[in-house]
Amino acid sequence: MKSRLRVLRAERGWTQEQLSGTIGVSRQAINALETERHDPSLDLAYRIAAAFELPVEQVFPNPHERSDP
Amino acid sequence: MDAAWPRSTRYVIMSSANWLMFLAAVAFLTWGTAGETLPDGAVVAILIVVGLSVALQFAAAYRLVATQDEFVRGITAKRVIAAAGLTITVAVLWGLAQQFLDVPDVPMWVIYPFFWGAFGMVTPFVRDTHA
Repeated sequence: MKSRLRVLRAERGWTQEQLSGTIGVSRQAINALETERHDPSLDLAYRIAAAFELPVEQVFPNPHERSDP
Repeated sequence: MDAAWPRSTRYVIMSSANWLMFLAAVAFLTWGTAGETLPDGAVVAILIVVGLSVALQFAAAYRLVATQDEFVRGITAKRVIAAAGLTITVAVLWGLAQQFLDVPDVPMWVIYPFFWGAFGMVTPFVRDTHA
């Protein structure tokens, strides 16, 4: 799953270690999310979004969203 | 959350103790004549130690994985399945080969270290949690 995690983290100057500590997951998990080796559960996606104080879809764009109305 | 695999101090201590117990018991029974000269009761006691070391090692691994995040749990599950598949495949093939072909007899306890060896071998190749 595509995400803006790496960009958002860089914008705030956080390391993977810092973000993993804030969210309560391993650094490997953050790395796996950034390199698209793991699709987060809804709970993890919400926790990450809360850490950035953003709506979930601004961190993880919805891959199933339809462009037509 | 516990420290990530394999950095959990508790897991490293438990795992080292279990492996030492396993290796010492197997070495004692298989090297030399201890396995043949000891009374049955003593052999049974040592076998229980071996069985305990195996069960406790899996319990320690289970406890470690249970305290990890969803990525580590997912990737470990995939690695365990791959290692179990490899181990059981080799065990079935070797068992049939022992039965019908002239291949060396291998004791069944070898499956245990083989499984963990297989786990280590598949680990670099299983790097994501995708299907």
